Amino acid sequence: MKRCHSLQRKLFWVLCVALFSLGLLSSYVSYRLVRRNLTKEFDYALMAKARTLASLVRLEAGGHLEVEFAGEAMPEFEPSRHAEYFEIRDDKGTIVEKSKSFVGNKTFPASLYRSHFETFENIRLPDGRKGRLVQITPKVVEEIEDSESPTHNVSATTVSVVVARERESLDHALSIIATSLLLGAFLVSLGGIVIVLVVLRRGLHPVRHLAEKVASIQPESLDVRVTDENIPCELLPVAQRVDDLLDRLATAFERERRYTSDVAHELRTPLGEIRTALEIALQWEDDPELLKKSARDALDSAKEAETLVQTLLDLARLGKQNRAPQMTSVKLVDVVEEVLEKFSTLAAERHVEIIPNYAAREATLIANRDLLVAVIRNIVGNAIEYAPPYSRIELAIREQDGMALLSVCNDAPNLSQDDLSRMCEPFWRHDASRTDRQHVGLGLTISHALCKLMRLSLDFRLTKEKRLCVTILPALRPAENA
Amino acid sequence: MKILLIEDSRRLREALVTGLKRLGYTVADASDGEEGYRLASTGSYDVIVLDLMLPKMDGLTVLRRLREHKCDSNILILSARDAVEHRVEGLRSGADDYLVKPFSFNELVARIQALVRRRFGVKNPRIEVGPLVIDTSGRVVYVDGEPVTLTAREYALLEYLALHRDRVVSRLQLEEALYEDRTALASNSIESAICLLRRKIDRPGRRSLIQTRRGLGYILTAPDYAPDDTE
Repeated sequence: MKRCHSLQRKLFWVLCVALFSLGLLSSYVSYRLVRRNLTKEFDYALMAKARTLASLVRLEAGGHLEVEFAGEAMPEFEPSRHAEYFEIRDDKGTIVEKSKSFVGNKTFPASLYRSHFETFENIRLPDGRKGRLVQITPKVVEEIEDSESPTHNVSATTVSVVVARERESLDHALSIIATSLLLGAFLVSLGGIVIVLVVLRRGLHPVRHLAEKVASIQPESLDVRVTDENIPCELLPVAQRVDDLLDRLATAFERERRYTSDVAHELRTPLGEIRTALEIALQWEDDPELLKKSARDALDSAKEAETLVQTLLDLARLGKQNRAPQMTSVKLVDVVEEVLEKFSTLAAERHVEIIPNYAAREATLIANRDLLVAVIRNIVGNAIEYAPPYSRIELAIREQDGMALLSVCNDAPNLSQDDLSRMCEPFWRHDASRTDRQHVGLGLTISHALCKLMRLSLDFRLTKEKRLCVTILPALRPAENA
Repeated sequence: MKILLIEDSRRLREALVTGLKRLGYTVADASDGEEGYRLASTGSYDVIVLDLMLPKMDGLTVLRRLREHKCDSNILILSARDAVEHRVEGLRSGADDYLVKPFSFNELVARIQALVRRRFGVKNPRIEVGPLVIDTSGRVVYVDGEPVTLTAREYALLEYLALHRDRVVSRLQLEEALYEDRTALASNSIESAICLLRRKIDRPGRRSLIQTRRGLGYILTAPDYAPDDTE
């Protein structure tokens, strides 16, 4: 058997992937936010230092720049393992002041000074550590002191202040945060998977229960029904549909069983006759008369069995036939008169009078002529054989809504309304004993199948006067009450 | 032995009647339930062979009605219905045996013989009366170990007497058991049949196995038990 897809497995994996993806995404977003904020604070601190340094720059008379920097106030710029760096250059790029943390003649590369705006940049510090710098270009104004008038600017210049510090601590913090977030996402996802597993198991339990119940149904247990009070609303239509199918299946099985039993029963009787006749003939084989009679009886029984088997085969072939027979417009009067001619002798023998009523002489039916003749022959034949002697059979052709209808009505004093629904069942005969071996009870079954093939239908009505009316009419048309 | 066969299949009925009659049974037959019920309730039959699916009155109704009216005949159902529930229903309704069609004629006869033995309280198919041995299963008769050839009628007479051994059987009982239509019987038919049977089973110098009880009938008994006042 081909391995089927497991809904639970599929849901599990989809939810696992979704959970992991969500975890990773949320971790990434969180990391980006934290990183942005931390870098912002880092840059803010750098900027504060740069602005502090910028505030120390004075423009002296004559355009000379003076930096009032005191190393003890900002020891972080002293040479050490954790030293920070600054550099102040005038507008020509000449270094005005730089931190003592620069060893020897080292400076920041001149290429840093490209912009006149505030810029942050990741660099490699002169001592080789990873660092980050800020460059600002504040305007420095010359201040002249006058006792009579307030201080006022007389000249100004622009300087570049670059402050740099190591950023490994920031990177380290960020990597710890990233690892924590990843780990958290992983753990949350794992927890989520466990929850998903439990929820899926519980949530899909009714589906599993329904599947197990359906799987346990065997041909011998078609009375089992899957709908119960625990079925959730979502599965109720499925369960009800399964129950409906089971109902139909049980009916079909029962019909099949009954059919097989009927076939067996119908064949047993002629077989029993043949066997008994032959056994008795052989037991007294020296009696030629008995031998002859037994052989004749056995032959007659064999012929009956053969007819029955042939009829059953015909019926089976009809059931298998999917191809529609060739259909033409058949004039009903012609067909009916052809049939009546063949039955005239039997009708006379049975003392029944057939009264044709051709109200629509030109009426036609779309059918296969040969099959239609077979159907009408069966219906008329039944009417003649089962009608009480000296009764009348009415055969009417009429039109209704432009469609032709053919009705055959005869007295049926022993029929009941309950019999009508069973008349097309295989082997059904009103006489349950089935003594009448001329009729095996398949005629109407075959007629019904033939009509179905021609898209016609047979309608059976029993009037209050106990007259059975069989009407041949196009399918899907309600029959007129006869 | 009287058998009533109620079967609607003409050919089967005729074949069975022929076969059973040739075996020495007295057979009446009916083709529908009503006639069968009428015959069964008015006559006395040792075994009734009854089909279930009968016209006019179905076999189970016939069976139930017969049992309701205290009919004590052994009833064997002969039916094409083979389902367990049908067999159970038939036996629970009062049938003594059930045979499904198609069947072996010999099996039917064996079952009828078994029912006959049951009716007369005999379990062994071999009945011994002094030097006389009757094998009811093979329908063979021996006297002093020697086989005796009997006609079907003679065998039926001897078997009936053997089943009633040591009991007096009236002429009327014998007539009913052996002849289908008693009205056509000659007044001395039974006497003639007994006489012919005695010639075949009795041995010279020995007292007859079949004794006549004047005004009462006949009794089959071993010579040792025979009362002194026999003829």
